[in-house]
Amino acid sequence: MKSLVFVALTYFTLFSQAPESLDREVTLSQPTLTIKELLQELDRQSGYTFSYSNRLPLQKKVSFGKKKGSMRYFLDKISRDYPIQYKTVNEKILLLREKKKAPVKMRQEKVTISGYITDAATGEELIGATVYIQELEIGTVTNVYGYYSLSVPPGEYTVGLSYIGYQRQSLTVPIEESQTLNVEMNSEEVQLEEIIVTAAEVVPEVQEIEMSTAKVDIQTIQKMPALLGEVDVIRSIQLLPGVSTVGEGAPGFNVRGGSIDQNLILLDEAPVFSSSHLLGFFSVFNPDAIKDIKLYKGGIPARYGGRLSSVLDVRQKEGNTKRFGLEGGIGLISSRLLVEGPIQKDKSSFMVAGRRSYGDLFLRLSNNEDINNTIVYFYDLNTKVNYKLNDRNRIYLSGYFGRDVFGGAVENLRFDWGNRTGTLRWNHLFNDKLFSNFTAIYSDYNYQLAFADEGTDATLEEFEWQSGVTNRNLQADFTYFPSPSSTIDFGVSGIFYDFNPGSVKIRTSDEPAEFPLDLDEEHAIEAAAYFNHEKKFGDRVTVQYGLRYSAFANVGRRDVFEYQNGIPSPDNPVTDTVSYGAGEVIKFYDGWEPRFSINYSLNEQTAFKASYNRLFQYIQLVSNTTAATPIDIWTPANQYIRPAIVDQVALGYFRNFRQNTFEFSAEVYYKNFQDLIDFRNGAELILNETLETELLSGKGRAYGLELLLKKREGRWTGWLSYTLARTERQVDGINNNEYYPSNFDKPHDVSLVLNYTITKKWNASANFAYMTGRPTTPPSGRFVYEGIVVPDYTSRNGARTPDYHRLDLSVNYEPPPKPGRRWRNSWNFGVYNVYARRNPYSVFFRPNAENPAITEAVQLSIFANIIPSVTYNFTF
Amino acid sequence: MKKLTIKLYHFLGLLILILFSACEDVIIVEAPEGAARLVVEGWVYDDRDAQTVLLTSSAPYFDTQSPSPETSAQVSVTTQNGEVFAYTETTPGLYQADFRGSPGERYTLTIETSDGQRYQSTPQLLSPVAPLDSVYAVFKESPEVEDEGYYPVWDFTDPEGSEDFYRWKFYINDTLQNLAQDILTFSDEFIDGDEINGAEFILERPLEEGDILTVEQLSINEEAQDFLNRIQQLTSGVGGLFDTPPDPVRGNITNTTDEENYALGFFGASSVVQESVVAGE
Repeated sequence: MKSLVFVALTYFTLFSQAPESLDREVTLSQPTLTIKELLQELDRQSGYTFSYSNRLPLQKKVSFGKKKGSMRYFLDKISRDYPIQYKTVNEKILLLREKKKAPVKMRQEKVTISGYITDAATGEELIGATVYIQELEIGTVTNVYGYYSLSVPPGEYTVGLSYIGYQRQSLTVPIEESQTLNVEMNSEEVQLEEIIVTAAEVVPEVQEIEMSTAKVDIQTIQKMPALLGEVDVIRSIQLLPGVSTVGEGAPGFNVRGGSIDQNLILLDEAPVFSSSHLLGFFSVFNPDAIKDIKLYKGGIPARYGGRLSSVLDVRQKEGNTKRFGLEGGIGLISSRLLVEGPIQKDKSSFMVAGRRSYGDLFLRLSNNEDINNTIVYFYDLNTKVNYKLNDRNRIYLSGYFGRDVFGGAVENLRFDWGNRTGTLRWNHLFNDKLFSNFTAIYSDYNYQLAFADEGTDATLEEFEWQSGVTNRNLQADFTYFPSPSSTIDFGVSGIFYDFNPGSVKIRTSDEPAEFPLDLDEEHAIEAAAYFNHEKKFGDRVTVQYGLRYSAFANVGRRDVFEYQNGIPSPDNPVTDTVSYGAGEVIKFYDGWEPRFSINYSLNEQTAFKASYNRLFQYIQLVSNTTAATPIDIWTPANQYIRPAIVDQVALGYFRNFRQNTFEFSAEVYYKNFQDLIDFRNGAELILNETLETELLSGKGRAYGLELLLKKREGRWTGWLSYTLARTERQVDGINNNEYYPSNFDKPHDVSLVLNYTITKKWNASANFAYMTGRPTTPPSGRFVYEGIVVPDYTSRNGARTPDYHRLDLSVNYEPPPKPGRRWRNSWNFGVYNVYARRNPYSVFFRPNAENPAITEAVQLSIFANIIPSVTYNFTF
Repeated sequence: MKKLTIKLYHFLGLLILILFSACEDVIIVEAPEGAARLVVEGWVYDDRDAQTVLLTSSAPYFDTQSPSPETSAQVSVTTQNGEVFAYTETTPGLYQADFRGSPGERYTLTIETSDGQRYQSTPQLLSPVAPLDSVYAVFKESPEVEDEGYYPVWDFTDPEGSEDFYRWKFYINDTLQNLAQDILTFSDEFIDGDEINGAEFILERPLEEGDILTVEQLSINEEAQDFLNRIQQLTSGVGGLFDTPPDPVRGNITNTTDEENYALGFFGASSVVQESVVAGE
């Protein structure tokens, strides 16, 4: 046994030096060096002296992303990457070989540390922060409420905490008995002249069980170039692999070949039915109010259900529990303001954020009467209040109200639509291993169309039409943490739906009385129960398996039509009408949804993952336009419409390079869809009492390869993604019963997102996107009727629009705050569509205006020019 | 409802155009070509003694020539009680028979082309049409209309109880206004039995003072209305994001020898009333 060599202790109390601290900045001679060299340099540059055993791996090399940093930064890194731990005792730093096992006490039973990880400045709970125990090499991640729980044998441990954008912490904690450990983390501030942005996570994606998910942080989204300066969550996720859109102005997004109604969009657990404003140009999410966004494209955990292709889980900020704050911005199209603060310091807080567009004010300047009479605006209001009753109980109340309004221009049309959601949640800790959450939700999506027509039809004068869907949900979710290698989730939920497919009021000049046309309301109940277990086997294998049981009942009060031969079609007349009473079950469906995923870590840098899931969707969006319009109809399953089902398998390979500076992933997936609603050619979907006669059901399949390379550290950060994918449908009665491409089939999709930190104040961003054109149905021939040239069609989606590509750039300027002042501001200058590409918004086929005998294909582009923008943002 | 839907989608499209600087470019799109089909244009009227059927052939989409006529076909119309009217080819593709349509009679068109394909239409009832109470040519100026001039206005009374469908044709100095946007059809769903005063239509091209306006009011059925509306929809440009995927317009003629080789076009029967007025008098 070699004896330890200690350097003699020397006390320099005679020297009046400032007390030394691990936060002291040092500069290395080079970014890669041996541990011994590192310690020598740190020793030279600081007031500390180092003591260490030569049993430590002193000749091993370490590579840092930078040369300047705090002492703590460099020491943390070597203690993380190698079995080294360090302790400071006054002005001395001791480095010891890390013990494999913690000192074992007499009592063998485990104790639990649990608690909440929050932001030190605002009190916001951090979602997905890592809590890691070095000596045991185990860790966990905080849940969506910022809560974690770890059960360990009693002992003294070094607890490491990390989270993107925050300074890493290492605490030495004696854990003799179960205790609460709440930690506040400080956000990483720009400290140096040359900056670097985010640090690597302690548990990079390679080691997490989840595959097919993307977590985009809001800070990244806020720096990306934006159309007209409007930072947009949905546009940003469209730059991820596997996510695309039908067209520039189309609402919603498509995930892995699924249609836009197959995304479960949750805002603080409340479902949102329309994710965009102005028909798809902007999303409903005010980025100031958002804390966390996670997108699941596959391997969807059992606690989610109801939509086939994805889950977009968006969480709002709670509101600063420590002091009042303001955040906002003024842009070309809209302005926003967020106010937050404590109601009772550290116990309760509120957040209110509003956004309103005023683009229509510019229209007033036009000479064209059609244009200057047009009203078009949207607004969002996000609100939240939370209250911590005690250590075991917290209550949250959130609300979202948003609306789009169009009016004027044509025949006094006024058209408005929007979502309203309200959520009440109660987090309850039964004990430190059992976390529960109870939620009550109210969500409403409706649209109104009012129309006054004087002219063509002398009869119709005023017309008002409303439609919408309302739901009330109750759910209970539990998470049980029996051990660090095992997490169990289970819960139940119930959703009560009311669908109003359309009610119309008409007033004519002759008859002042209104005569209404009301389609029967539909009602339904969707219930589910789920169980999920995530278990780690040894160091390499993590398995997640779960099962969700879902059931759906379409209930009265409603009158249901019966058709000849039992099949609704335009050829089969209605034979009978059956009346069902309130709550009486008209049709019942149920299904089992197994979920499974496995992660095999070859080593710390490499992992293989596989997943399978099955999901049922009981309500579908019926739309017979290529892009959805706000007036499309959410339709529940009933006796003529079956629920849609998907089975998805995915395989993935994940690899990190250069100490987690680069992350690479490759995933392949295959999805098989059943019973997707489609409609007959020329279907009339609006105000149709016999809607079921226009609907057909078919199958679909989607498959693809997604490649993603991400750089997380350094002056350059960003990602490059490439998706190669197909999505097809097959419906009897369309395209000669053969498979045809879905409306959003885009075989190639490339996205590049880059962010470059120029200096402390300046930062630049670029986005580049390239996509194959979308399918379109061209005429296969033409004929003449009464002198009019008419196109003839055979195949569906047999051709493509020209390819889409676009480059955006932006620059962000943030002057440092004046010392002692809280007011901070920044300017964002952006250019959208830098090389003015005329991307096709739609492709028309029509007779030539001058010579109607000639037919031509014409493309319409809207963002055909360079569109610059300026936005001013502030925080107080 | 369909009209409203079309209007709405056009409004949405217009709005987007207004909001942003939009451009149109003519492009080349590879379109798969379909087979040539028989196109039928035939009608039976009760106000004339000669009835005609025009047979042509469909062509590839980007073709620029006039449609080629379908010659040497055997064309006949049969009534409900078995009376057969045989048509003879007068000019290539144009077939004529001498008879007058009668209200209440059902007519079915049968065609046998020179290559042995047999086609048949659905039976078409020639329904009586409501009389035209009056016809006016009214001067309209901007901003109400884009082109100042005279536009047709008329009055009629819808008979109560019967399901009536209408078509109006407009002639300026005996020339039929036959642009796609000039097709006008109507159903009495919301106005059954009503007296309509001041029905008007904005033609693509207005009348000038001294022009003779003739308004023809024809009775049609739901099939004909669907067909004509679809023709109008298809010619107004399709493929936009807010347009419905195009429904191949067939009409009411089926191929009894080979179902796959269907025909395009329509055969119908109408009762006609008309009235003329001079614009500016």
